[in-house]
Amino acid sequence: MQEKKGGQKLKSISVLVPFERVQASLSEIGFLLDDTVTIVADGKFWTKMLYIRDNETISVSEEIGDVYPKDPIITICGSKMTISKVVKDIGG
Amino acid sequence: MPLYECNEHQFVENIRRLLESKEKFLVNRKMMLHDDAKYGPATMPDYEFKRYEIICTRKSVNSTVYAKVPFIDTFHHNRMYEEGENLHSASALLFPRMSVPYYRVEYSVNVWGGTYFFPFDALFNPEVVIEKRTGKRFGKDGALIHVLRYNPPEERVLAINLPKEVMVFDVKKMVRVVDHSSNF
Repeated sequence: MQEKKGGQKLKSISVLVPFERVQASLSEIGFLLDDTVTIVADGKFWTKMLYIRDNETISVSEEIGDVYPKDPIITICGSKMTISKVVKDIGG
Repeated sequence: MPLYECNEHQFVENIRRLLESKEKFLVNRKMMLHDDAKYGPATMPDYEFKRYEIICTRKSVNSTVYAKVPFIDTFHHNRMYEEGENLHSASALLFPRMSVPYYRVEYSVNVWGGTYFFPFDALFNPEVVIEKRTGKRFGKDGALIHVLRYNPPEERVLAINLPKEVMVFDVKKMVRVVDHSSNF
């Protein structure tokens, strides 16, 4: 377990893809929604969602409302394989 | 000592670069509860306002918000609002009468004499229930009334998830120090 934790990598992606596509990618690889919170950053309201799979976490921050462009911020703290898969799926 | 503000994406990517460079660093986190009427129901986007719709109403964003039903706000010492009461006036958007508490969260990292920080506010989650209350206002037998509670968000959803080798220190305040050493 220690070895696995030590092997965690960090990556943040901000791409112009619909949140539904991000959600589909995360579900496909077994990440489940754990909690959500409304935050205000840069003067804008965002929904921050936390997804968990074992000891890997992915947070997705999406701006609230009908705004354009919508570019959710995806922050991954997990294995190299998880990062590659998510980046490939959503084209980051 | 310059201060650089980052958004979430920039802050996390900067940490990743530091990790990859094997540079030693420490991440500081400041988390403080605020209830200073910064956020009120009139200025919330519709998605967030929907969570309050059982007890209040408005025409659109930045319109005056009125109480739909009488209710008690337990977070603010059981303050009672009457039906039709103005909760957040369109002409005084900076001064809501019904305010939403929040955590002010600030992550920062100091590298090479500069501080890079990512600040955000996390709103408390509203919960509306109907409870029986007794007292002068409610009569001897008591009465059912809407009750608004604010639940703090869980710490795990406020945290920026970082690999285990990154040490995060909780701090109360960041004091800026003027570095005069370069003058000598």
